[in-house]
Amino acid sequence: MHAAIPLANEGAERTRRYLIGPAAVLQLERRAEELGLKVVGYYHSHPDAPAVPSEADREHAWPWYVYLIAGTSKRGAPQWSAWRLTGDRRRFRRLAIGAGDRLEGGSCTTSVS
Amino acid sequence: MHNVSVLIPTPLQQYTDGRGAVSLEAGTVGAALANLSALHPALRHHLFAEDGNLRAFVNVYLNDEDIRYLDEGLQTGVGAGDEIRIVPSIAGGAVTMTGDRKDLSAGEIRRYARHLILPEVGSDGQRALKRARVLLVGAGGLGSPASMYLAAAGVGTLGLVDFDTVEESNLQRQVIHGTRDVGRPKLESARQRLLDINPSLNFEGHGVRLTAENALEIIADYDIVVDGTDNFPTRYLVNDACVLLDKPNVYGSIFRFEGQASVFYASEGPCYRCLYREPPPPGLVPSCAEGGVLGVLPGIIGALQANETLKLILGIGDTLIGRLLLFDALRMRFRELRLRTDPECPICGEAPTIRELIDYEAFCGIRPAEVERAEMRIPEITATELKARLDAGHDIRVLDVREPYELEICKLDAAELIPLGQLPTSLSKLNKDDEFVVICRSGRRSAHAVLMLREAGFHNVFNLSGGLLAWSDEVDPSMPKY
Repeated sequence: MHAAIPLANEGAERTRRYLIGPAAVLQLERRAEELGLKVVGYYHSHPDAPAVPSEADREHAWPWYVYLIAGTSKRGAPQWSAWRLTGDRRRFRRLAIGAGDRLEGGSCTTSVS
Repeated sequence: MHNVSVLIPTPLQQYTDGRGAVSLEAGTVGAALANLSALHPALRHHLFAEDGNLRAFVNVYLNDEDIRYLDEGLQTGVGAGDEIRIVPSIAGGAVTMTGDRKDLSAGEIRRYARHLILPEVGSDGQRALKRARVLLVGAGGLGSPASMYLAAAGVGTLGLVDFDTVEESNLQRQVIHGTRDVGRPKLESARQRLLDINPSLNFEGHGVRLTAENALEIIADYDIVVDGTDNFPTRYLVNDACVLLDKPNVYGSIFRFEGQASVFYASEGPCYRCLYREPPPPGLVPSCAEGGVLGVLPGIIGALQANETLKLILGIGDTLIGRLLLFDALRMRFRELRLRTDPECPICGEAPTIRELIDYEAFCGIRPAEVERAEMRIPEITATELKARLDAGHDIRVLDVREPYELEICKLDAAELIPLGQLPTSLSKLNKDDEFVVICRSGRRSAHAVLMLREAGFHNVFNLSGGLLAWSDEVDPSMPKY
């Protein structure tokens, strides 16, 4: 992973939902292309909720992308987890996060490349 | 019709053979997408919802214009050389959208209240359970608790594969069946019990033996398989089918006072063949019918399997992928072995040699009992014949090769006890010219004894065909069967 690029949350209910519209995605894809990179996934947080994909995450998920989720609580550091949608769209499969892939928590609902 | 180019976003390129653009003929944007789905059918359910409309997060651009803002939408005509671009939007969030909660009814909210207040489950998790499709292979000792807890937890669809009928000797541990069910197909008895636990369960019964011919078809339709089988051929069959179909296999096994559990999932960790590449020689590991099992043991292991299944569905906690849990009921101890993926595993390794299901009976060295006995040329006598010859006063020595504690269950008065293990050292005490009939419970151990005696030079030796079970059927119904 080479870069994490924060994107604006275009959703209406910003503490509970996130939305990155097609224009922002296209712009991100073009920017990544110029840098010789590829967008491999997106990250978002679940404020005061576990780092487990929600039903909304599943319904909107694309295959192949890695979805990184930061679950936050008042009690400590955010818990990160990584997921990929299964081919039948029914479930997420949990991915291992390697020791080298250090992640810093943020308060954002944004995107990673 | 014009030739247009459809640009495919990275996440979908796995369905277009890695290509970022597909060129095809179409008259409208909608027709172009339909033709694209026809060319690459796996794309369809990622682009279109069940009602046939484009999914909400799938955006389609015609030459950089979002078609949602064009008057004709999908009906917009296309010209030669036009570019149609599929662009993702990315959405989700911590809680479900307003209105989504509707698919948990008031009754479901009452029933699953203790789940719903767990943040790790919640209403999202409960709906994931409801959507889940779990297949249990075997409605026996392990399948009983596993299926009952999964049904109670709200797993929406449970498939069950079993072709047996309930026997009295099952009731000591197979708690899904009751005394009144003796003689009924296990599938019927299990169905009734599970629907009593949870009437909203969608129960799918498969009253067949799982075989290499039907396994892929049956398993393909489920998300997770729970292996509750009691024999090696089926265990390897379930493993291989799950690897080929990329399904998690929640494994459990039991014997006497010890049990094991793990989750085999080749895309994330080892499979059963990474642990045991080949089965033990037939006869070396006794089955529960031969070796016995403490009744509560399958309850413990089967409940562990239900636990792992729920975690896999909910995506929470650390599953047993890559770990083998060993349980000893007498010492009351759990131990854990780290399992590694075997790069040379014949089915999930780097260069697999098994690419389709094989003949698992042959792989496990098991042949039909009749063939085996015919090949070994073991002379046999039926229970009826033995009874007649004993009654007529023939001088026959009856050798019982069972274990001493089995004699307490039932025995023939005429029999002398020499447990199979002690036979080799007892040969010198026997006269080679006497006529012998060797007996055991089912006729299997005695067949081995007959073979051993004939190799040692005894020529007048017969096996009681079908063992004491046949004696009970043919001669003396008062003899208990076990």
